Amino acid sequence: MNLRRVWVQCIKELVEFRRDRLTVALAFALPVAMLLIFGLAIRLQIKNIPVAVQDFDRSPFSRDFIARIDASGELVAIAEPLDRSPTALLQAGDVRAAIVIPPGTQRAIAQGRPAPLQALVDATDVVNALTIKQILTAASVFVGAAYAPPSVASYVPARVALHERIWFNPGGNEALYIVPGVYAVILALYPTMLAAIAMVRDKERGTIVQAYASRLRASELIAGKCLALECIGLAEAVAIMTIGFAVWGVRFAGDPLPLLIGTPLLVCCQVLLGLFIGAATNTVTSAIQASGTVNSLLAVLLSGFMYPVFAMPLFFQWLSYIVPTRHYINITRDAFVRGAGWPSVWSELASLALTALVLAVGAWLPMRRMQMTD
Amino acid sequence: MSGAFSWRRFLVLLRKEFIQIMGNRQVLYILLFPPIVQVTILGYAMSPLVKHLTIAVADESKSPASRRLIDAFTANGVFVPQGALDTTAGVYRAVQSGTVDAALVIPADYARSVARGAPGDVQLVLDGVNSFVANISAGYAALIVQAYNARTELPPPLSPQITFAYNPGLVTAWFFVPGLLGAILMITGVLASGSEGIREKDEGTLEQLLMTPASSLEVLLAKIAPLFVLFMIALLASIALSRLIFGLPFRGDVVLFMSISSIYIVAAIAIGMLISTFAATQQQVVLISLFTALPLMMLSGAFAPIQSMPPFWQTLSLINPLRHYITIVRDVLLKGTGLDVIWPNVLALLAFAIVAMWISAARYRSQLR
Repeated sequence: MNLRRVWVQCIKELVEFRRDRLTVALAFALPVAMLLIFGLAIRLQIKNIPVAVQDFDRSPFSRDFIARIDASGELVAIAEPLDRSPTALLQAGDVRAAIVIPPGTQRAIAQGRPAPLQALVDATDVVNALTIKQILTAASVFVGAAYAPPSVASYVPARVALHERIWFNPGGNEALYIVPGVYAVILALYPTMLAAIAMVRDKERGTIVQAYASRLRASELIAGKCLALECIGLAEAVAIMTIGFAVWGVRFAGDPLPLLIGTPLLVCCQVLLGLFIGAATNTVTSAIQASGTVNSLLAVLLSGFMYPVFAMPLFFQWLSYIVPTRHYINITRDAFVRGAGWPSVWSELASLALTALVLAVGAWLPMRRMQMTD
Repeated sequence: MSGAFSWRRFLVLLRKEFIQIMGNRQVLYILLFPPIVQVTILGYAMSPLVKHLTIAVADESKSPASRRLIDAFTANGVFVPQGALDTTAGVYRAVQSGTVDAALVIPADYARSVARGAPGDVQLVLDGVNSFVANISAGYAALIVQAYNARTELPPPLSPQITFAYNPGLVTAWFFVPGLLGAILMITGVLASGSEGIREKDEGTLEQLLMTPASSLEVLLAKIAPLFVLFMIALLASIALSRLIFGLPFRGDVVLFMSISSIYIVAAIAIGMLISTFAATQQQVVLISLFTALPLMMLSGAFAPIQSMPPFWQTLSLINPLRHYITIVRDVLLKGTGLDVIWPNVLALLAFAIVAMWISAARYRSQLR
């Protein structure tokens, strides 16, 4: 490999990139917009689920019960007229559950008889449904115990007192969870796309023939483009991490070194993936659509960014090991939130390095002959 | 170039566009692959449920009582024990380094205090890096302990009968498929129509079209029609596949659903066409498309709940066609809702489609002149 040729190829890419003002602007505007939207708007914590309550009992118990539900912050109890059926309430779609407290509930509890408290839950959104169930169950046990006869309630000694502690982010600050994840997703999406464009553009314009005719070798072509896009990707990384610090105060929790090594590695993986996609397609549109749709959904959804990887079917858990974002997300979350450093992330760095190697070969293979395809 | 709408010219143009799209294998693949394959794969893979959390247990008590508690903790699949019988320091280290998601510490005097009739103090440490998971698992832990405490011969004072409507099996795919369907149709629709819209400009054939007697409406409609047909096919195929794989129900009216979906697809295509009138090259089209489609996807309720967003963003999401479409798909497919309930969403979608189409037609025309 001739380093001078690599360098020249890199400069050529950067000059070409700089010439298209709109692309330069979007290469930075897209990541920043995404960071801001995710950081400011997206909240996974469930709250304010509207639930209808039909209180036929009108007793101290029912009032306590409703107050308890409301106090959870996750549910908002809305008193509904008693003549509408729970099914009709759900069908209208304004509430996610209909709770019916039948007449005589308090009396039944006080007499130790089973009380017919009922809830119809809209299970369209499964997470909502389970949260509603959790809160209703907890509220009935808690409030029910206060109204139950001594033989039922106070006879049960509490055998366990659970003391919970949430480490690293005790305030449950969601930006602290979302923002380091968005860093990983952004650095997965955009460098890949720009790399795919850089690779396929020459092909579409036909100027790749000049490269084929020259003494440039496939490895030099790929190394040159990779180097140029690595610079762009790192510039994006610096931009979003600076904004993350300025807006949400996301700062290093521990040793920054793994992140400083991991970021170039991830960008390298993504750029090589993009070059591979560019080498395998023939038009800018198909290259970007391939990298955009497939990669965005994989990076966003199978990386553990929003939903935990360990809840997926086993096959996808294995599959996620080859998604570079999954490893990098652990590195960013460790660097900015946990702060454990090397012992917890060295394996992620090793995986990234290995992936980069595999992808480099992958990008090189379709280009190695430096010939036109038919 | 002016004059009345001519069906003959339109059909000729239509034929040209169909031949061009069908001739391009890669474009066909990109139009049909994401809606069909991604919807089913991701519908299968994505799960927002919290389960299989790894938990390290430090059982300093080493008693039958503490083992019973550990069994209760790990019985229902939310917590999976890893490296049991560790020391307290050991499990703290495990959480610290991120190798486990939670740690349960049962102190040495646990069995003794339980035997005395006093509550045994137990500590649960949760990794808060993922605050979403941490909160949900804290809720589960509280329920587990509550159930464990209440385990006596007597029934609990009050246990509500909870019925899950519409999705009694709690299949998460039923929730995700409508969202994915809407999101993927939006992003592919905008991208594909955007690049179709710019192709003539890019290849320099726009001038040739300009010289023909065809009106801009004819040109635009002929461009939209093949995409529309392909997306309708993709939509039907992905719904059929989801039904086959996940048993996704179709409880509502098919005609209503298809007509609303066609409004939505027209809206997505209109956004793409509009973008193509602003951009100069393919590359710009694609980047602007992503710039538009990604926020629409993120703020739609497809993946993250809208009611949890700050109020400003909730209001903003009202102008998002994807939000309305996803609500409609979930309602019509799962709940069998009719127009009497979803009409505000349909109206919003219709208004959006008309406005977007009108603006992009106007801009396309000025581009032709």
